[in-house]
Amino acid sequence: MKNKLQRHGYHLMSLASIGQLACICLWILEIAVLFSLTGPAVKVGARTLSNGQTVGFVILATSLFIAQVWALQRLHQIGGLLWQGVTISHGMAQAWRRFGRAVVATGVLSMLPVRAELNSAGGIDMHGGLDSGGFFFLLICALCVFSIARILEEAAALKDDAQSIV
Amino acid sequence: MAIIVNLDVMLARRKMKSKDLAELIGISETNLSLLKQGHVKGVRFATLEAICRVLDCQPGELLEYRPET
Repeated sequence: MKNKLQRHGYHLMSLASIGQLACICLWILEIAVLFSLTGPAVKVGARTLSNGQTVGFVILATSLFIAQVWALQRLHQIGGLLWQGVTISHGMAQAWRRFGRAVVATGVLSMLPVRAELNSAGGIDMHGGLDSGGFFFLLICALCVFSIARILEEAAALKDDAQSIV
Repeated sequence: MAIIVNLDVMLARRKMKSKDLAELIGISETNLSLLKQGHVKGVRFATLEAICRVLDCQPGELLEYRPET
């Protein structure tokens, strides 16, 4: 490893890989708990979720899992570029922009909590909604990431200009 | 581009090779070649000064404005 940035890129790649592994483990655990390790039917208290409700849960959990792995993959890509010694370039700006999109996708999916509860009549109620508290945090994160992408794009253009001045 | 670089003309008058000029002014041959062909976006005053000093000429002799038609 040549310099600190390259070392940082290597660490970023390692952490992203560990994160992806953790996401896969959590997803498997979530699906296993959802379907219950003892049988195929998903139960809430003494009641069993309908097929539609179960499918909805699985789709939501899988979508969130895919978005998380996608975001970490983009982070891995940024780390890879740093490791290769690519710092201020159009490729790096593009990688940050892609990471920004992945962060937005992950954030939006994370803000959709759905839970199943038993009601007083003994049936199952599905509660869903939008976590408005997380929206502000997501907005700030997305703005930061897209700003970094924009700054890198401008810096790369300036670098190109500077290289063509003798 | 409307700005023409007459460096090759000056080099021919002084009977000097590009390689020697590049070495004397401290830039790479590649950059000097790009400058000669007008394929650069700008020239630093330091580079211009060095070229004028080595070739014993004025900036106006190196650069010429020719309006594009």
